[in-house]
Amino acid sequence: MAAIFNLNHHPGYVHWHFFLMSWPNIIVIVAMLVVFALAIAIPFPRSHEPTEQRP
Amino acid sequence: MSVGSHTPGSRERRSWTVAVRERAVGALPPEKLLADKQPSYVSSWIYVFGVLSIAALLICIASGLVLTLKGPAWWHYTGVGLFFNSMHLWATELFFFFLVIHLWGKFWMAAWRGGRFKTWATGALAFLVSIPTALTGYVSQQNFDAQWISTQAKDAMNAAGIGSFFNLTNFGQMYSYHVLILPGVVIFLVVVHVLLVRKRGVVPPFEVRKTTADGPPGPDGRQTESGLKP
Repeated sequence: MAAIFNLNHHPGYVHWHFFLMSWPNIIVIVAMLVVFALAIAIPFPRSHEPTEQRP
Repeated sequence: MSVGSHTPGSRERRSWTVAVRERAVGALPPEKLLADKQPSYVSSWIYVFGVLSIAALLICIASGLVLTLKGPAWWHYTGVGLFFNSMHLWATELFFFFLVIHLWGKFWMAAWRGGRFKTWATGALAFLVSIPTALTGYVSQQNFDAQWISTQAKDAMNAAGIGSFFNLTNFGQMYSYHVLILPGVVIFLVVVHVLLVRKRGVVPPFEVRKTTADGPPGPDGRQTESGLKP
């Protein structure tokens, strides 16, 4: 990652009133939210293995 | 098992090993402990984040064992050492990334339902203990980054009232916490958590209510059950 992004400097910050957070933290939190939404939205590949039916 | 006291026809005297075995097999019979089938509702991506967290934790433990064997000079000044150091860091990042999504998923499906409170509690506790495990790792790096983090975070420890016995600027103490005490607690909680998942089963999602598309809105302006699209 360091080869792609220059990590050898202080990160930028978003400062709005009381809100203060670095860009790396914002990116990670947004990425978690996106992955969470995709995990719910994207259908799981159907398995051909026998599965137990829901009780 | 009591040697010498067992005679044909007499009732076998119960020993603690028999009691533990019977209780363990009763709580987790082999077909439950190592099941070959899962409920159909686990066919969703939201159910994979628990095992992804465990996979990241295993990489953390494996890379951490190598770092412990070789020491700070190795992980700072050799190519292979830097590689293992980075692997340990990014496995930690992924561990928390997956764990938080797992936690969100379980929270919104109320995973403590159906007698699964202990499963939920051990998972939540494992997450809480993982935080100081990571923090003690960041302050054990033996570099300026570690010094910066320890001097910044010690104020939080003092404010919490634990600064007198939990000194973030004490490398020896933090390293012991990081490589022995806290990982032991995390591993123990994760093992208990997984065994409880095996015992109680994976929590099912909420039932989808049968609805029709042409129902009127309710008195509070929201659609009633009959007015929601299926």
